[in-house]
Amino acid sequence: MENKRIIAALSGGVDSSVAAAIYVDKGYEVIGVTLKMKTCDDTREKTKSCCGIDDNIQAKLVAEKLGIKHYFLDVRKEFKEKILNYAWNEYSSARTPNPCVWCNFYLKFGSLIDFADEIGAIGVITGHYAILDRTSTNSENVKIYKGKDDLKNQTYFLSALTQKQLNRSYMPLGELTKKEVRIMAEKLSLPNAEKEESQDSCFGYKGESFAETLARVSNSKFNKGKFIDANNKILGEHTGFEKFTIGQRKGLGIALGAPAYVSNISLETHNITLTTDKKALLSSGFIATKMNWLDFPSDSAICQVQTRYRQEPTEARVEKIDKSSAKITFLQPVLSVTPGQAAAFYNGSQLIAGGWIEIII
Amino acid sequence: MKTVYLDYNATTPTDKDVLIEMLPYFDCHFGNPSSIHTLGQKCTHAIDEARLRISRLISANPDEIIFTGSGTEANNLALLGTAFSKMHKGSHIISTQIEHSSVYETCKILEKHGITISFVSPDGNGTINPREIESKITNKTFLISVMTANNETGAIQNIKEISKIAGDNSIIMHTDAVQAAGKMPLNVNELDVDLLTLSAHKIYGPKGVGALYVKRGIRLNPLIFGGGQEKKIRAGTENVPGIVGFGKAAEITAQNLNKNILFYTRIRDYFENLILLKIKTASVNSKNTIRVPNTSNINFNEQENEKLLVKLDLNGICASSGSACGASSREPSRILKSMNLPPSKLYGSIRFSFGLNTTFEDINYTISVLEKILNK
Repeated sequence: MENKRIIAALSGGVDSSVAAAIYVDKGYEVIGVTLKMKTCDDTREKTKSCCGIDDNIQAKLVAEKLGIKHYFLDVRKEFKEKILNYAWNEYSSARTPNPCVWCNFYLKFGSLIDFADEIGAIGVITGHYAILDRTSTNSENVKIYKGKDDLKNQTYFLSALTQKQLNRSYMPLGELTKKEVRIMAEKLSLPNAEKEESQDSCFGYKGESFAETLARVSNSKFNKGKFIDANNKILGEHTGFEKFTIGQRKGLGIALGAPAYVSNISLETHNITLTTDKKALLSSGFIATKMNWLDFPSDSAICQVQTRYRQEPTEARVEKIDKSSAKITFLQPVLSVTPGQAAAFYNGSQLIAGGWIEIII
Repeated sequence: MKTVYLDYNATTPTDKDVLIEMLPYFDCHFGNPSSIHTLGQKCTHAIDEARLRISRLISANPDEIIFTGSGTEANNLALLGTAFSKMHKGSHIISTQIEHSSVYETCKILEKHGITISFVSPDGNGTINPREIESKITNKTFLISVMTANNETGAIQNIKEISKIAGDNSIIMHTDAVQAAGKMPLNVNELDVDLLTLSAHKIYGPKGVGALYVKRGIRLNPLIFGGGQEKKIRAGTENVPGIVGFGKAAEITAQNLNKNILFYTRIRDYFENLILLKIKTASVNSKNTIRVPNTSNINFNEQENEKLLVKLDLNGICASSGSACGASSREPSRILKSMNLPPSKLYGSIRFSFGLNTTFEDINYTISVLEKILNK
């Protein structure tokens, strides 16, 4: 008898709720699971309640509406180590982290898939806007494509997922637009049809930037320094190099007569170089590490690379250096390529590899 | 799939006779006991009858029973009511690490307000040593609060001995007897306590009503002010149906106490013998101390208890562990931590608590499910 038990990752938001509903409708034994990531004693919450309990309550309401069982999975330890500590370490190393990418790898498709194994479920459903193609007759391997809704395509954040993880993942929203999903939620009378999105609900604090929050929870201090130009002339002061990222224009607190951008952050001197010449932000390529080869054709190929979220992928030659690193050379130089960010590699709309930007060329 | 409920320490179903007793007080005899007219006075009598029944359960006088909205509220009243009334005489309270959160957290709040609290730890069996309580006494101590029986392990505390120590030092003695009621005899004179907490929904009564025994002569500051109900100690229109239900539940409990104790003992012994036989990694927490007869806290050696509870639930079995919060947690309970158990025993402890509806078939089914889950 076919095993129809499957976990639905429920955040309390519209997307994951509709994704779960779709599989309930298909007759699966859906079990809702919400990840518990925040500590209970945190008092400075944007939702003014403990452990994001507003979202937790929403998740429970959704589960009840759908008539499915619901449990919490306590992943606070993993969240702190793999996501929060990782992110702060990156900022402290003058890099810009991409916690959502690792969250998918370690938690949503890590801890949750382990849990699926424990309770005999075939895999995990999420509300990500991505298309998973299981129809290939050649292999068991699932292929992943960008979601139909351009604005919502989230494959960038899924670029660290291994083939093994993808084979256990189920994403029914890929062929839908956000608008269609909201309509479905309303039709199902889901309690959160009108609600705002729940991205960053795992980590949103009122009046604080992400870096400020990380510094606070890890009891760390920012390292002040100077703003300088390309000739080392001092332009001003900043309150912490950890708060800035390459290509940043806003929030510099400096008036240079023309728009200024962060072109370099120095770990050694804590100084931040600003430029008014956008060309200084261009790079011709980068070295990527921790490569995740999914459906990459050969040791060297031309494909499209995305170097940050909400950026159009650009043509590049990708050459394997070894099994975990690659050299990427853009056909046209790209602005603000930032060390620490994830890189997603596409062949058209198919995600064929993922990696992490290590060194800018 | 059948549901096997083994979480009676969390709550119990309301007895059918209790429900029948309560129903007329919703829409027929619905008066406000504070009213002068007959309709209201009928309810005053009903409440008095309930008060009498509860007092009989613990061998107290009816006028020594104060009704509250829950066992938690009664514990709050006992601690805060005493603290606010006695603060000028002292600023130190002795309690324990094994208390229910409604005592423990209330003590933590008092700490924030300048009262010193000594939280005595139990031994490896979850039992508090009266000598350790005694060793914490100072001339500023005005209250000792130790629960009668622990909700997680079932361990029964030596209240009589601790009360004597309190009495010898003119210190007020409170005991949270919520988990003891219905599982062992309770006599406030033998225990020699000044304050004692009870809760209806643990003895097959309705949720939403508790009681505090307040010995004649003990003064408490009220926490809730208003219309002067409950001798001005706890204002608010009385939850008449709830109180009536509580009274009936107490009467039934008192009537069947010995019979129930025998039944629990048989079921629990059967469960523990079978589980130790069938599951090699299982061991019984607090085995070597006197426990209430319906509680069995089993350690499964390094299993993650929240995952175990989920797997049990997927098979229709309801049990629990000492989770710190509603949204589930891997943290071991404060009670088990305070018993200084080795790490392998801290994680993977599940509480099974049996009730009057538990059958031997339920036990057999539970053990077979555990075998399936654990002997993989």
